[in-house]
Amino acid sequence: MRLDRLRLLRTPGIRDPFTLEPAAGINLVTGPNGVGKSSVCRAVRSLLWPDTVGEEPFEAEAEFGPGSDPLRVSRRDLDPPQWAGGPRPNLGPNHLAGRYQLGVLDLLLPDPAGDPLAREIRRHMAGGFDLESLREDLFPAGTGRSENRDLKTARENVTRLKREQQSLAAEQERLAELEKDRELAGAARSRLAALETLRDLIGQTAARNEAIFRLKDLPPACARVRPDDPEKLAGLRRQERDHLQKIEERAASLGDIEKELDRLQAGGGTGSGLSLALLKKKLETLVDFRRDVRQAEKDAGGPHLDQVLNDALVKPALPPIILLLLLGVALIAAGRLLPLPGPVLPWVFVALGGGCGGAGVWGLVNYSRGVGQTRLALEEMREAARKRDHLARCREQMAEGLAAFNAELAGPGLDSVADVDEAAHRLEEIAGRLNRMNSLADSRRTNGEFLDRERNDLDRVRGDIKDILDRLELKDGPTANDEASRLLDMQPRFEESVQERDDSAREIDRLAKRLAEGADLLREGETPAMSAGNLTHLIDVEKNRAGEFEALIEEIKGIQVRIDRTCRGSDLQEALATEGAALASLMEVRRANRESGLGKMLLDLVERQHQKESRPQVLEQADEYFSLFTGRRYGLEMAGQGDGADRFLARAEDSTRPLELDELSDGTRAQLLLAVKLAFTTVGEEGVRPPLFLDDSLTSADPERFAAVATSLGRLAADEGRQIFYLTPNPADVAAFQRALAAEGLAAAHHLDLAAMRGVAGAADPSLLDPANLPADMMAPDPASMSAPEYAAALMVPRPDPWARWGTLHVFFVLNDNLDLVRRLVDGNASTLGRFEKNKDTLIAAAVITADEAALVTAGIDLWKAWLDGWRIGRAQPVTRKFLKDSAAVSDTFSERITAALDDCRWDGALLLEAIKEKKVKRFSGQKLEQLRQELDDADLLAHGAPLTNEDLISHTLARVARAVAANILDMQKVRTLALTFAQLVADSKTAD
Amino acid sequence: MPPDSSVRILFVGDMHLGRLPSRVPAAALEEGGMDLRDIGPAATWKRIVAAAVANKVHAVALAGDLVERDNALFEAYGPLATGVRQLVEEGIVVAGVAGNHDTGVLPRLAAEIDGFHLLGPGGTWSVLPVPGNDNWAVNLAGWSFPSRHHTASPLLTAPPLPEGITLGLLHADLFDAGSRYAPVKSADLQRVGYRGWFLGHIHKPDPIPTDGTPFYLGSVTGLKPTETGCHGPVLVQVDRGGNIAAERLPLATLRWEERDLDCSRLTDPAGELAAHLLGELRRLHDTLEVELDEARALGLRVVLTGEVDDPAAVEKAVRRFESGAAVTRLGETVLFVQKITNRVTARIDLLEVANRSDPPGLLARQILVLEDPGRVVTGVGDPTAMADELVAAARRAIGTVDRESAFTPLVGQDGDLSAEQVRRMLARSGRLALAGLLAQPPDREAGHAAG
Repeated sequence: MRLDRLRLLRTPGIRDPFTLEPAAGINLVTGPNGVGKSSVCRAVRSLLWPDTVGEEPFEAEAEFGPGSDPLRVSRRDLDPPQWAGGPRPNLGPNHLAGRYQLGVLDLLLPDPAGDPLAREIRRHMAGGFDLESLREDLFPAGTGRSENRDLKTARENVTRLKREQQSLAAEQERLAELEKDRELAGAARSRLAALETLRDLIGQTAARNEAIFRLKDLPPACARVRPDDPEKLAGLRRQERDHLQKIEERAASLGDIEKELDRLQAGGGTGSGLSLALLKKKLETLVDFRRDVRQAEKDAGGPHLDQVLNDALVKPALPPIILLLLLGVALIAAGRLLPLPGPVLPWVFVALGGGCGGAGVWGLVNYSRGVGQTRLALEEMREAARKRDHLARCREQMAEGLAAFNAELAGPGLDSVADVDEAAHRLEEIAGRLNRMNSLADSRRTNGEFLDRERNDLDRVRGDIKDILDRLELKDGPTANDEASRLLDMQPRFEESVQERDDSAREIDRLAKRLAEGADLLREGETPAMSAGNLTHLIDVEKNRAGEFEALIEEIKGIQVRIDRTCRGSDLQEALATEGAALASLMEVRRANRESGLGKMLLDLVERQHQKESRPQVLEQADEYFSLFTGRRYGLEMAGQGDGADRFLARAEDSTRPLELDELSDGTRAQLLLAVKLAFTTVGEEGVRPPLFLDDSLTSADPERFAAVATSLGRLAADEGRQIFYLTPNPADVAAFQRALAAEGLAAAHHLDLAAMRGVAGAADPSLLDPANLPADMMAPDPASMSAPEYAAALMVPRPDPWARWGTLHVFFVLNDNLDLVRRLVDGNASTLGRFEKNKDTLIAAAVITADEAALVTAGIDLWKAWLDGWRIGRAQPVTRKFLKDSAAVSDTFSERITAALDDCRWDGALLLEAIKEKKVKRFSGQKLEQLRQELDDADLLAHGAPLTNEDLISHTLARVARAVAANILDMQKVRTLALTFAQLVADSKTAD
Repeated sequence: MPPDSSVRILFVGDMHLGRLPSRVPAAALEEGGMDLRDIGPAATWKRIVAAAVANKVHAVALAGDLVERDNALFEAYGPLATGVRQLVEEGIVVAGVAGNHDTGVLPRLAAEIDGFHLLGPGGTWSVLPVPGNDNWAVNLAGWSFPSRHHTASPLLTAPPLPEGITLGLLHADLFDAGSRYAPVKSADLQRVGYRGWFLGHIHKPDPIPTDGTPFYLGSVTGLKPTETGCHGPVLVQVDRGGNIAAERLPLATLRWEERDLDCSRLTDPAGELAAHLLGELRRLHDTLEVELDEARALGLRVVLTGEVDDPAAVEKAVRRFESGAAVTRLGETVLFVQKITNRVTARIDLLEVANRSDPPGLLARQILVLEDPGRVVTGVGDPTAMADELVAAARRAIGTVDRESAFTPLVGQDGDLSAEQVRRMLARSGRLALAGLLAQPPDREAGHAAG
């Protein structure tokens, strides 16, 4: 069936109609993205299998050959296609439609083990029945881990609760003993009170006795001594002394006064008969008389006979004078005449004799002058005798007055006076005496009064002192004050003792009463008479016992509460029920697994039996295609059951054993996969061979695989007359395709430039379409003029996938500073680290790379592996749809909702759990959530711990490639740079996702 | 019952206080506004005590296993002692024999509560007269387990034969002569000469005989989903003539039932499974209405039977069924489906399919051989040998499953599967697989071509 003409009138995204006129064989449809390549595919599909394109309104017309009358079909919007020129050919069921649209990229898978293709072929080997799906759908097997864990947890809980209850039972058994202890403790507590009362009583008695004993040593006056007594006493003492001193002084003074008075009284003139006024008058008279006398005497003037006589008498008498003269003469004579010893002594006698003679001479002179004077004096004595008479009279008068005066004095016994002066003096004296006596009398009186007062004060003071001393029972004496002070000092002790004694007495009364009340609690010998030591020991014993009372009460109460609570509780019942439920669940899983196991077993038996009996046509067809594509160098086989996962094997003509896919070259592997795919597409065809569409670009394939696929398609077109459409946005593919076909001698492909046909921009540059302009061997471009990013773009280096196997990383990433080496590796079929590892020996042997370069790449491999290991720490792989499909926790009901949630969570398992927890998946039960969590955990889809920081990642990586660094194969800066680059690329990739 | 001269005794079977039903879904509890304790043995025991008082019985006779051995210390003992004290305070004689679960608890109970009489302590026989209203008594003779296991018959020691009417109270195993739980033969008991025997140990209650045949009182409430039917104590009235009137009081708080649901009649058994289940619950409620008066919860196990077009869909629906998905409340009783067992089969003409050479044909032959080992099947030379081989392979497959580490706790939990059981399981799985195969999309061109 050949598409000869296709007219697209209206399709989604295309409004301007255009017509495509393909040729038989291979049609290379080029055009930029959006020009309508995919619309062409869908339009054809909508015409041939209208039910498989959904609700897209297509308006298209097509003509199919190769009959003489073209078969026409048209469709308007959603209406069924209208066929003209014949009925709709038998195109097979709708579900086969997709097989005519190959995803070329699938052919480029690095490792197709476990590929759905293999599964599909298994299905064909099972007679078209999908036994594997049946096994999965009808006979799923739970792991039972979750149920096992639940059971284990439940049993642990039961065990714990049983242990607790056994422990409680043990405590319950102790209850009787504890009750007994409690009673003993209670009794001890009661007795303890009595014993303590007894102890207190004994103690108080002792205290009272001690107080009494102390009081015996203390004077009772301590009770009466007042705080100010010593000071007061001292003051009184001072007052006493003052009073005494004053009294003494006054008494002495009074004595003096008395004595003086006595003396004055004894001196007379102080009698009562003495009139001082009279005396004074008489004295005035006497004064007058004395004036008269003195006038008289003045008038008398002459010497008085007595005086004359006295004068005469005082003159030396004549005899002594003569004697002196004689003596003088004698001495001189003795000195001159007598033989006196020595020269001096005679002269001493002469000197003495001269003196005596001179004195006698002087005496004789004076004696002669006195005799003359006596004569004159006698004359005057006569005159004077007259005046003396007058004087005598005056004197008599005077005498009489004096007598009268004396008479007055005599009355009081006073001595008489001799003259007026004396009288005056006497009078003055008497007056003075009287005054003195009066004064003394006053003084005596005053002093007497003072003395009286002082004595009174003294008596009072002494009375006070006596009062104090009497109160303090002290004898008066010099130490009384000290005694009082001592009493005062002792008073606190005294009062304390008294207080103690009194308090003790009161306490003793109280305690005695209490003791009497609790007397029955005391045992024999437990009396106030017992020793304090024994009692203390006894109390200690009882106290220890009683001290346990509260604790025992609490313990008993606690046990009883726990028993009561446990008796009313249901923890263990619930735990047992949970255990039972968990056991039942696990048994249910086992039962289901047993049934599933049996179901699978039957299917296995059936499958094996069927495979023995028939070889599926699809395998035959795939084998045929593979042989065709590889120029009959290879055939196709399936790995048998029990030989690991479903997978294909290549049977090489020159090999005795089948080859695994990874033993094939990339190109051959692509051919194998294409063969299998095509086999599935064509095996069910019944005469009609619809066109085949390859809608992925082969541009990203390496030249080997490109060529392999291209030639395979060419052979298919040539062998089957199959019309094939290869759609690509890259015009260069046309040239590559044509060259590959030409190289195998196959017909050239027909080129359809969709952009040119539609008249839109993006038509292919004719020069790109010419195979002659291709590099001779389709080698990797020369990086000479390119930067590393440009070269990566030229090589279409895919981004690193941190969850893919390490070998998928393009060598560019570890050699981006050595682009020439990258080119050589790409050309040498070692574009990835995995291929390098596989081909490195060959490359070294072929001198494509040196051993050093190989070591460099190997170091890069180590670096990438180390970085991957570090990066994966704290990260988990994205959850897959397959996981969800296999999950027992996610039922069909929730499958779509969980998938949507996962999509929101960027397929992160942990985030999914959080989302479910936050009720973002409605009605997903908590139990299922836990089950899902466990499944994710079991599948290592939950991260544990935190991812490493970039710095930690660098450190981690460096540590792992330390040997290469030490060997100078890598340098630290490069390691650091690459590690950061990887992190950035992966982060960008995730962001892009 | 009218007051007369008869003696009324309430016989109580296994209670297993301290245990809760474990298969009641949370949704059912929520629907009933209750928790497990409300439908556990303790709740039923309370009802029994109240019923004893209400019916003015003269005695309550407890037939052993009053408590769950694993939880006998407190949670079981507390409610038991409380109930016994209440009965004693009401002047009701309370007697009991120890079963294998309560060899330690009942002696303790007897020691602590004066009014409780432990019959046959330590593996002996003893008699307790139960006086009625009219100054005559019925004798209760009983034997108690001396220890957890007792492999000898209690009748090795001759039971006492007091004058008058004697009723036997015993916890024993009537069915297994090698039992560790006091094996005894029913006939031997009958030969003792007692007017009746009231037994504990087996939880499934027997119909109440009136001729003195020993019978199991059954558990007072359904502890496991397998303990179906009406449970409760048995009220016995004995007159002077030795005539016995007995009735079971349906006091169980939780009742279990099992019903088959024939899916052949259902248009969409998988899609409307929940609706069908709810309908079955309502029908069950209508059927048991009287007996359900006392039950707070009714759990139903449903067995789906019959032939359907798509048994795989039913199987998936059953797998998706979550316990608690079918819950309803009718009156005071919450009804729920506890488990569904799928026994539906596909409408397949096995003989016809067995004529095919493709995988369904091969599978159909296996099923035919399994379902009828002696049958001659097209393409099968020796059907019996094939069946034996399949069973042997199935045992290996089952052994593989059983040896998985997750299932090691189940070792010894149930006995070995018989060949018949394995064969049935295998046939069922085969039918399921066959239905699945035949239901696959008709992408058989390759297969047809090959076949």
